[in-house]
Parts: sequence; C-alpha cells; structure tokens
Amino acid sequence: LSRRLWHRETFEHLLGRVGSPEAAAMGLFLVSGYNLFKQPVPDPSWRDVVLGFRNLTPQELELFPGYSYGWFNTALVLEGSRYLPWLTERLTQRGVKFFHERIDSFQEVFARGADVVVNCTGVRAGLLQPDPELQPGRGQILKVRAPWVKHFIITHDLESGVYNSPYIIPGSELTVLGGVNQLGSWSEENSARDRRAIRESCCRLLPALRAAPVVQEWSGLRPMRPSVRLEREAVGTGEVPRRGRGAAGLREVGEWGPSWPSPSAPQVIHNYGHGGFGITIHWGCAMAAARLLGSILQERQLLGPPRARI
Amino acid sequence: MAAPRVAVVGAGVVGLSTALCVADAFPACAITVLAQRFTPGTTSDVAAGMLIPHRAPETPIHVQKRWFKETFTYLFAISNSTAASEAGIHLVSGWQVFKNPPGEELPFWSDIVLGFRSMSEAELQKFPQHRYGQAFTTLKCDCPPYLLWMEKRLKAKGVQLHTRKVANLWELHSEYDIVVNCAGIGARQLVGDQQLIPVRGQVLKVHAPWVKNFVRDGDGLTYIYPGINSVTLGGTREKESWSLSPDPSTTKAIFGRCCSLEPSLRAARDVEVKVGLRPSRASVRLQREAWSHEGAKLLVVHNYGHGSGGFSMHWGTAKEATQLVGECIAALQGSSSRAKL
Repeated sequence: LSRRLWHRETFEHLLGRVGSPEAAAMGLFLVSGYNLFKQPVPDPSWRDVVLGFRNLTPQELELFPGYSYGWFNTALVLEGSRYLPWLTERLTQRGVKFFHERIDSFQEVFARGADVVVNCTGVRAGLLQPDPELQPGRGQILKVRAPWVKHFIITHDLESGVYNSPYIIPGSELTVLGGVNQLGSWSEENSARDRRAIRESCCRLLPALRAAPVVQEWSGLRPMRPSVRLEREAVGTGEVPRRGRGAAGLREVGEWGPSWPSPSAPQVIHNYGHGGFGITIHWGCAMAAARLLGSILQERQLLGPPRARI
Repeated sequence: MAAPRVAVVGAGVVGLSTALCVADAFPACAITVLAQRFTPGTTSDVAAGMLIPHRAPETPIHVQKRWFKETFTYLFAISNSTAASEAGIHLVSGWQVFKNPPGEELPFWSDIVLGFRSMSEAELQKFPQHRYGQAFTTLKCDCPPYLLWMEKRLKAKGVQLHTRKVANLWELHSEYDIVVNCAGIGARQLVGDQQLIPVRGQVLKVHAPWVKNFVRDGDGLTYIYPGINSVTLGGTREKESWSLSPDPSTTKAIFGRCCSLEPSLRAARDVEVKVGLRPSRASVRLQREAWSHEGAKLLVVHNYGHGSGGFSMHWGTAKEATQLVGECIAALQGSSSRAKL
C-alpha cells in the first residue's frame, strides 16, 4: 500500500532530522504516548515504523477508565506553525518565488509559462477540477497551556469514526485538544458546542487539564478522500481529462490521436486529499510527486522539440 | 494530656511530606515546621524530582522497594487527579541508556514504574554511543510546585511554618515534645552525624520545551529530565564537596554531555545553573531517640540521609517516620498517665 510506504518514508526522513540542530526550528521532536481503544484491535500497519511500539499494561490502562486496550509508542511531532515558515525559508534560499494569489484554473497557470503544475490545493482542489471523492472533514481544536503534559493521548471510537474522538497532543509551547471530524461541513467558524464537547471529553481523559487555560481555538477542513490523489494528468488540450488512471498514463509514440493527449501537452501532477494524515505522509508523497515530475522531464527530453513528419 | 507539640525541622521534600503524614495520622498534634530555608531555596528545589531510585548500599532491597512503591503509588494517584498541575506531578517517558552492560538485568523498581522493557534496536540507533537501554514511564515531581502544594496543604491543616535556624535540637525541648529531624545535609551539623556526607550536584535548568522524553545515562552522571517549565540537565556527583557555587567549566561539560545525548538541546536557552548537596548516607537514618537532661526530656525522630533518593523514597520514609512519631506519642501518653498516679 502506497500510504504505508509514504508513512515509513516520511517517518524515517524526519527521524533522521530529529537529532539535528535544525530540529527545534523545524518544530520537530519526539513524543511518546498512548492510543486507547474500548476493545482489543489488531496492531496497526505502522507498528514497525514508529519507535518502541507495544501494548499497554493493565497498570497503564488504570489511567484511562473506559478504555480497556491500547498501544504505547514513541512518534514524532512536526508543528505546522514552525515547519511551514522553515520550509518557506529553505525554498526562498533556493530561489523559489512565492505569489500570494487566487488561481482559478490550471490553464491560467500554463498561460503564464508553467511547463508543469503541481496541484497541492488540498480541500479546495475541486475548484480547479471537480472531484466528487473529495470532501471537507471539519475539525476544531483548542490550544491550552498545560506544559506538564508530556505524552500524546489519542482515543479511538470505532463507531464515531476517525478523528471524532478525544485526543491530546503536546506541542512545543501549547497542548492541542481535539477532536471532531464533521464530514461535509465547510464551516471554519469555531463552534461553542464543539468547544464544550472537546474540553469535557479531554478533561475526563486527563483531569488535570481542567486547570489549563485555553489560549487559542481554531477550525480547519481536512481534505478527506478515500485515497490520496497522487498522479499525473495531461490537461489543457481540449480533451476531457481521464480520471482514475495511475501514474503512467502515457501512450507509446505513434499512438497519438485526438483522444490521447500528447506528452508535450501541459501536465498536472495532483498531490491532494491527505485527510487527517497529511503531515504523517507528506514527505513520501512529495518524493512520489517529484518522481512523477522527473518522468515528465525525461519524456520531454527524449522527445525533443516537435518535428514535422515527412 | 495536652496535645503533643511536634516540631518538624527541615522544609524540603522529606520535611514537608513527613509533616503531612504526621498531621494526617495524628490530627490532635500541634505541628510546626521549622526550617532555615523554604522553597525555592531548599536542596529539593535543585533536584529534578525524577522517580528513578538509587541503590542505597545498606538499606535492604525489600525496604527500598517498599518505600519506592508507596511513593510511586501515592504520586501516581495525584498525577491522575485535578490536583496534578498544581502539585507539579506528571508522568514522563524515556530511556536509560548504557555504554556497558548494566549491572543487573532488571532493577528492583522495574515492576513499579510503567511499561519497563528493553529498548529496541531502532530506539538505540538514536544513541550511537550506547549499546543497551531500558525504556519506561515514571513520575516527576517538579519543585517548587510540589513543595508549595505541600505547604498549602499543611497550612490548611493548621500546621505552622516558621523560618528559623535551629542550632541544635535540644534548644527546642521547652517548646516541643517531639522533634522530627528532616534536616537533610543540615543534620551533619545539627546532630553531628559524621556518616552523612554531601555529594555535590550541579545542574542546568534550560528552556527547551520540545524535549518531551527523559534520557539518562546508566552511569548516573548525564541526564535530561523535562519538567513543567524547564528541562533539567545534569550533572555531577562530587563526594565531600561542600561548595554551593556554580562552576563554569562544569556547566560547559554538562551541556556538552547532554547535547551529545540530545542534539536538539543546542537550541536551548535561558540557562540557569544550580547546585545542591545530596545528603548521602549508607542508609537513611530512620530512628527514634529519647533525650533527657536535668529532668527535661525531648523525643527525637530522625528521617534524613536520603542521598539521591529523596524524591523516590520520600513518602515511604515519611510514613515510617510517622510510625515512629506514633510510638513517641504513645510513650508521652504512657508517662503522663503514670504522672497522674
């Protein structure tokens, strides 16, 4: 499964960086903690990716009344609020330019001279190209000051669904409390009802949180999709773009016709639909997208400029 | 007879916890804590407060185990309550790593801490200079919060707290019936115990809030303990050194050793250097004595000499000292009823 590979690649890439002097600036650090369940579950596919995975002991489960089974492991936190500025600076140093603009179509970008577009538009990708499989999964979080919390605690409720069960994740300065996952909701307004539910359920998990002041609150939209869309697509030649193809999508030389896009047609690499695990797999996906770009560039080199046939 | 007047000398983790235990067990007593220093000026304030026991050479293992278990159980319950943040008690997970094979496969406390196991190969890769390791979850008592919380609870029970330098215990005989000596390193001068020696520890407290796991080198000299508002980096074990002044070259050495265990510490800031003198003894002195002089009497209970194990053992030894206080009270009552005849 690609997702498993991308997860491993991301984890190992970051694990290699966690001991570097850059780690704090990146917002990257190790954290240990608990995944809690109300009944026994099989081990996750990532058990060998993270560090020190094991089941919880009865003594540990005493900490979490209502949960009868769980895992302990050491994982990584990568704080977006630090990572994005850090990446931006790295990119700027390499000469990458940033434009703060609204884009209404891929065509508009090609018209400005782009050879390839990498589409990382997340939850709003449907505005550039309709995608019925993509929908928002609204989340809300509270950030509290609780510096004594050194572990993550993630509960799982197989009935409520993923991210729809309380979780507590310590950041470098504040502790994040969640979680809700409301499929189909586009609201980015903080809901008082969600706030109460999150606060209540997290305080039941960790009674000491009652003393923690709420510093920030935020709502966001997870780009939910049955699978990540990570593939290339030829667009902009007037042909209807194919959906559901894999990464190859290229016909052999000589088989071009009106219904097959040519390799010199503008190419879009899609990389969106990461749900609630974007950070978890981002690096593996980025490398896969880069490989797709590599293929495109290679094909274009092989073809050379278009020549008339005699 | 009138309520027994009890003085607890010393306001570190041992003094305050002993006073609490005595107040709970014998609510009729009038209790006063007397100390030259209260938090944040005690030896306990320098310590990281990690519950990782040290082997006291002359205390039987089963006794150390009992004291540790009582302390761990007591603090575990607090960490899981709404009082946890005020009391400064929190769980923390991490690794103890060894360059050479550890002396024992399973330390006596391995079944008391949570989730104790050997580290995996993947985990050990994070520590290229070390070849063996143990992973577990334990508790940390942050000071000053823990001491302040105990002071608050003592005051709520009517216990008095007074700053006072006690030159010798006998000077208290007219005001108090029972004195509990929790003077830590101060007991050397206070009761002239030559078996009690300081083991100097210098530590750094730094701002590095991204450090969430502890790391300890099995040799006990290098450790990284994340607390509520700072990370304690250590340390030293200098026997018979009485110096309370921070040593700058030691600071550099500690920082260097800790950065090689946890490189991200290079980004740490706001370094505060502290020094404490561990009150070290072959075993904790838990003993009662009856002093008398020219018709005057004073009952004394000793509870000092915890060395590196103050936090790890404090509740267990407080309970034992409280039992000894109970014996003193019984003795007082016995002699007062005799006096009535």
